[in-house]
Amino acid sequence: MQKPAIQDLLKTRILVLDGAMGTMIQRHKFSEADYRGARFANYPSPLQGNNDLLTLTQPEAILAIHRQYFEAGADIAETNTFSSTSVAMADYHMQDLVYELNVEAARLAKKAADEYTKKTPDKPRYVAGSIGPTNKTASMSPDVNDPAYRAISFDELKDAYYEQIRGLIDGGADLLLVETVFDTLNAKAALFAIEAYKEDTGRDIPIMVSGTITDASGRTLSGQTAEAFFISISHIPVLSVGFNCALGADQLRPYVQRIGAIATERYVSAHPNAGLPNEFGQYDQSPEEMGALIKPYIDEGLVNIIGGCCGTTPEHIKVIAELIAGAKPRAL
Amino acid sequence: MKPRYTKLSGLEPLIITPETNFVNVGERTNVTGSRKFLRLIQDENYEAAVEVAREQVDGGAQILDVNFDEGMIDGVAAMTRFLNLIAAEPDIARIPIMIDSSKWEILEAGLKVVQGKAVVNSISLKEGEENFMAQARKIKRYGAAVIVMAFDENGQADTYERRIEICERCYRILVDKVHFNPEDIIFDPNIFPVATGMEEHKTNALDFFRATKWIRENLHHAHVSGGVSNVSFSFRGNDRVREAMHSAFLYHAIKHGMSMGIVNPTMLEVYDDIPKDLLEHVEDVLLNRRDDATERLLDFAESVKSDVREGVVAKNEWRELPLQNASHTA
Repeated sequence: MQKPAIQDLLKTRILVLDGAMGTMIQRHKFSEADYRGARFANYPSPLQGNNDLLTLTQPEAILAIHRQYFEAGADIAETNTFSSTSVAMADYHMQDLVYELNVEAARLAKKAADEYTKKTPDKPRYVAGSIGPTNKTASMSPDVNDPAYRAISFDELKDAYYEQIRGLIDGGADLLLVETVFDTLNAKAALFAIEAYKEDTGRDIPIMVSGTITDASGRTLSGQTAEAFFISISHIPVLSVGFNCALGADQLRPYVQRIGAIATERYVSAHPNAGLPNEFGQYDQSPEEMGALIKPYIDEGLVNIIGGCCGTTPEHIKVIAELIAGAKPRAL
Repeated sequence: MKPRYTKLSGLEPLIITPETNFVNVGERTNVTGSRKFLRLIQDENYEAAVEVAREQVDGGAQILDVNFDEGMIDGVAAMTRFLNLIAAEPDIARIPIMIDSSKWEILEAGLKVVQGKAVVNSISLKEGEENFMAQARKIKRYGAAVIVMAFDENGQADTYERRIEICERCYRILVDKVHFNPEDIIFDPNIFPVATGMEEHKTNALDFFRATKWIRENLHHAHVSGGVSNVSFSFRGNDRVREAMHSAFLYHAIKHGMSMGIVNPTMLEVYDDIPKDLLEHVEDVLLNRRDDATERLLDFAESVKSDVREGVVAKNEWRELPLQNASHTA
């Protein structure tokens, strides 16, 4: 479906990224059997909790979530592929499914996006291929007795990301979102793979990069400040940089400000959590509460792309979409 | 011209602006320059080797040069292991790394383990344009700045003209063909020894200064670096004279636009504290001010050799000195 380049749209307005996929999946309370579906009924390892697998076994549920977010006013949907790399899928012995998981997840999101672009042609919808950090870190040792040890190498990550990227683009993703970056070296491997893919295929693909500030230390898990994180990925002319996850909108705001101050030639994104989790690990910040915390982002012109991470729902996104109506995007 | 500042990072940013007087790169974590560090690595005493890095940072190093180019060492393994160990030390890892090797596979091994934006030291046209461009493209994709040596297919540049010719050629290839950010290019126009007794070495320092000035004025946004201890090579064993030479050399080089240098940050004398008579003899040599400059400094060096050192500031306070009449602006 023909639609304007997202780069052009970003010049005129703030775009809305969707909210949490996991939170929406939890609402379904899928059982082990639901996760398995018919195709993996006899799979040797437990599969409950493998949310990305639902793309294949519960595609209607995933499609419905994308539709709900678009209905709420999202401009960009993230594919259900946060853990769809051979590195992360090793937990379920499903490395061989990675390409298929990415293709199908992108197709589902694209199907919903195309429906809504058709419905509201003045508000075209986009699919961002979600590229998570994996469950291993390239610059930290998991072994306290051997600080030089690494559970994964740059090359292993790069190859795993390349496979994911190929699937996402083949399935129809409009852009790629390297997100929840807790170790910048992992992100650099993803960006290296994207550049290699672009060179191999001759295609240009807009890239969003979103880091994660772990806590009030103001640093990523691998120890970098907001500025150091940006500088470390500044060699790639990405569409946007920003932060997501770990913090609520109020705690995240200073870091979004700081990255915006240094990344003067990039668009800025933020997708905070719905507050901090309660003692049961649940997020109970209401859409209105979160909206009130997001409002300064808009009033102060901090962002070009805004959405939600853990605990956010279509109701949260609806409030955010209403907030940005007519608002001026952050100027480059 | 819109300013384009060189931005590097470890856990924290290092942004080089026109106000950044000079960036000193710690040199002691280098097996080719430090016998102590070489021994520690050969003995697999990485714990003590990490402490050498910490001393450099504590002493004021803003970037850490790391080199394992020694025939008896597996350079790829040592580079990987050492950088991984340093990554676990937040007080060291806060500064950017300079991955130093003459072998591409060691440089690449380093690039694969640093999360920050490092500096690769170095590449050159020694093996031709194709090789140079392929390496530059890789470095760009890994996300690092690069030091380019004034070296081409015909050898190392040893005159003013050869230095600027090679540097300009490299700059044009990097900027026009590889689309390398010009602010991520740092030239090393070769610091060679002076006072060697060889007639053709007399202008070594002057040629470096002039080439530095030309690069800063003509190759926009690029920086100039160099290994400073080379200049005093003929005074090995006489630290007193060597340190004075390094400080005086840096004083003039910085005035000509040198913005970065590989030094021992804990062993630099403040320019203004160099005894006037020693300084005069040193500068006569560096600036080639008299025909007998070398002989005079050699004689003078004998007299200061056994001096008990007093009042020498083993600090890097010279970094704080105002740089008047600096000829460079980014």
